Amino acid sequence: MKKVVCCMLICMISIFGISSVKAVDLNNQIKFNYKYNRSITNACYWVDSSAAVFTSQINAAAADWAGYSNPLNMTAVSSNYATHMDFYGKADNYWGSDGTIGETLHYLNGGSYISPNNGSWFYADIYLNVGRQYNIQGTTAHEIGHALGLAHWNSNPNSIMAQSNYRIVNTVRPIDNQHLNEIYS
Amino acid sequence: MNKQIISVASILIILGIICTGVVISSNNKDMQDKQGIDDNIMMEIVSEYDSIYDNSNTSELEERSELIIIGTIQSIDGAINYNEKLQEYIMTSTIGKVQVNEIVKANSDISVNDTIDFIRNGGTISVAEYEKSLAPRQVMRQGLNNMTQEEKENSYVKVAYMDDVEIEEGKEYLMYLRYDENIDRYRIIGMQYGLLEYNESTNKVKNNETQSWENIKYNI
Repeated sequence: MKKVVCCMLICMISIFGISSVKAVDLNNQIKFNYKYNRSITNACYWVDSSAAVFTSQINAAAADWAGYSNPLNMTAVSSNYATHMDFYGKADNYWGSDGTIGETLHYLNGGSYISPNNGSWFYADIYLNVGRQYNIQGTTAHEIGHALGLAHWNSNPNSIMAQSNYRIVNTVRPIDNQHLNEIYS
Repeated sequence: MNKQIISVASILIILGIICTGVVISSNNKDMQDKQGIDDNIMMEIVSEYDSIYDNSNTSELEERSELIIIGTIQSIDGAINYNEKLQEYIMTSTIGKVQVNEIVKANSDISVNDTIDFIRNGGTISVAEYEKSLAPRQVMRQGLNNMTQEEKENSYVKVAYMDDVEIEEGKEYLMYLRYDENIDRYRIIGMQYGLLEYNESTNKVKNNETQSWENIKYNI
């Protein structure tokens, strides 16, 4: 009888434990599972001619991240050889005018795509919508956050990592910098 | 007379068998083609995106849609990444045909049982075609210039938005659409919120975030 009761208790505890494990909410993941596979203390970025119209906003967004107390230094360079981030401009029709204003893709050295939740990356391509010209600096800072390893945080409108339709800020916030430091500490 | 009838019937039966064999062979080839593509996917690209729209907001999605239907995907006709009308490269997009089973939000041009052409962001395309949409620096950095043309034509790239679902031939969906005059197709919008698998027997739709079946909010 005691053995039966013990087994039942073990089963109940196991079931409770399993059921309390929550799936990741990808709208509020905050940080990806992985990060750059190299240092960000001398991070270089390059702006393709397709995104040249946004150069000042890209520079401002980069400076926004690097201006906080963190390991990140961002330098604009004239070639995309071994850069951490490359910026490209895309027309609104590229996405079929579906509302997309920015996109970030992560790659290994050698150019194979890697999901930021499956492995570390060497560089990131960032696409910006040159057709809508919607809140460019904020969007760029958001996408840079993805490149650095930050995921969406839609439940916090005061984070740059909330998507545009959720957030009320357009610059990097201290909490975003805190998360960046947690990733690269 | 009887011999003539039997001869004609025999010929018709033989023709029917031949035609059936051709259809089966064609379907098998389609399945083999898809399996061949699936076996040669070189890269699966899943992008993080920022949007000005809240696709999870059904009211907003309804407002942005010109047409809301329950439809069965009649065919998936591959993917494109070039807009002939605009002469521009676009995000790899799946194209196909959907049969309209029910209309939730009406469009004067569309009726039940119509078959309409659709397009939806995300899809699988050959490396040879994918490469054409990239900037020269991207081609070099992704090492695509090291591939032979034959390798590029027989290798594939699968593109999708993070968290999105894949559209499947033969399945019935609740879908939100608007006509894209730049490509002369109805565009399925809303990503994973705009394409919800529908179960006619239970009158429920599948929530792509929770994977649970929920009562459809519309009167069908």
